[in-house]
Amino acid sequence: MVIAEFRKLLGLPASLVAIAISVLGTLGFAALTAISMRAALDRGDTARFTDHTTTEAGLDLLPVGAVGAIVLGVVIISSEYTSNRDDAGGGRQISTTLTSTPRRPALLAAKVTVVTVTTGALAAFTVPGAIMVSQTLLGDHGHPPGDLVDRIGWRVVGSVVYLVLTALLACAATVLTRSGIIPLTLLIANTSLVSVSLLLTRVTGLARYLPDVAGAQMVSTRYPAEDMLGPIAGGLVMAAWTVVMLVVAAVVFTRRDA
Amino acid sequence: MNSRFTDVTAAELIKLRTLPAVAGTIGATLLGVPGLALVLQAAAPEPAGASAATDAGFQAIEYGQVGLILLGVLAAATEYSGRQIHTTVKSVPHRPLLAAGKAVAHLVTAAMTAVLAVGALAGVGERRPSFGPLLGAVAYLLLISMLAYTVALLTRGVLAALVVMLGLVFVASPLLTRVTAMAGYLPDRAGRQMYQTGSSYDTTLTAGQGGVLMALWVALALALATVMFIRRDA
Repeated sequence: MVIAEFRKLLGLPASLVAIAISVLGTLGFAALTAISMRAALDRGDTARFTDHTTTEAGLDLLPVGAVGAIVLGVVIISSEYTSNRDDAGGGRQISTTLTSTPRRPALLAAKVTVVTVTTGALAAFTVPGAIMVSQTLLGDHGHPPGDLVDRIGWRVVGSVVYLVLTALLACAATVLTRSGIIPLTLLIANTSLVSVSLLLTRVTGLARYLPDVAGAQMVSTRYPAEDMLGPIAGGLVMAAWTVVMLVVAAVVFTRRDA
Repeated sequence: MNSRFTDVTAAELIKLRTLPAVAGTIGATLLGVPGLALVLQAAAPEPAGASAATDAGFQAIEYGQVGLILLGVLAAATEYSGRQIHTTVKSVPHRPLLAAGKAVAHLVTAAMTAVLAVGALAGVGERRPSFGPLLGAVAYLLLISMLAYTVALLTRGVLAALVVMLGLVFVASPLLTRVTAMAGYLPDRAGRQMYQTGSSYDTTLTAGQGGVLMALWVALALALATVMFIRRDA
């Protein structure tokens, strides 16, 4: 069942585009940023780019990877509910899927596994890749690998976890809406550097428990708001959101008519 | 010709009016923009200084544009979700006429939404912002909606067009801004000069120049999308 879901996901043009966005987008932006940063540093402009910035180069490209992760999480569900062309009967793939695999919890579990593995593998490649590209292109201004591992090692892991959980949230939300429009719009609009959630942290302290705000603490050391959770606690809060959303999605998916 | 054009536009307007997704998007935008402005005003970090209060209001445009983008995407892409496009081109085989009618119908809908949203925004503001930036905000929303419409006309799919537009506005353009000053010439960056009143924005372009540049981008994209619409098989 897991293999079947893999083939379905990777057979979608949208998934391939999402993977391309993640890989080319993240690495491309990393290269552009590093080149311009290096040029500025060569000119002696150290005010804008401190030691801190060069260490973090590549890590701050998380929004690009997040777009890919969100698209993957959305299309694995929404593609099931898109109508075929009328010439082909106008049916939806979900009918075929449920006929061949009537055990719905198992089906959803297979989809969740596929999203986790795909996004995890993608993130495990793009996050370190972006950092390596950045450090290489920074040249003399880069940092030796050992130093980097000491300073940002856990945040690389945090980024991967963040991306996987984001994809799973997108997947769970799409199970509820069945159409990709709403989850895609809300989640991508909220990946921006100044997100709605970030603005909410200025209104209420409770916003620190929002999934993306909490999850971002796994990645960022300079989150532009005060009194945030620690990285571990933030990761756990985001994971808790994901689990709750997935449980709700599983209940709805099992009980609602397809 | 003239009455045919009116008929086609009227037909397209009926299609837009009767799509639940379009009505939902307009409703959510009209409630969301002033609502967000109120929240942001409450959150304004400094005790509401003159520019901080107006900025908080206009910041709501940054997110409110999601509604206008979605509107543009839906207007163009819903024809392709089923067989409707076949019916449409059968009843109006003159494609340039059809393309013009669709574009005008969308323009009217988007203009109405943009005016109402910005009007609501001005209504909830603590300080009346001056007329210029308000007009600029309407123009920006209208143009970004047209851009979304042309992108969707090219991709023919809701999700693809959404990813392109939202990726441009929320991911690519903020990231590129940090890399190169050239990013100021991207359609959304240039256009936002029309309503930005804060001091934090770059001074590459004036409001007028930004508006003209964004309009040029949109005109170019619309021309390309129209040619493709006329030449490509439905």
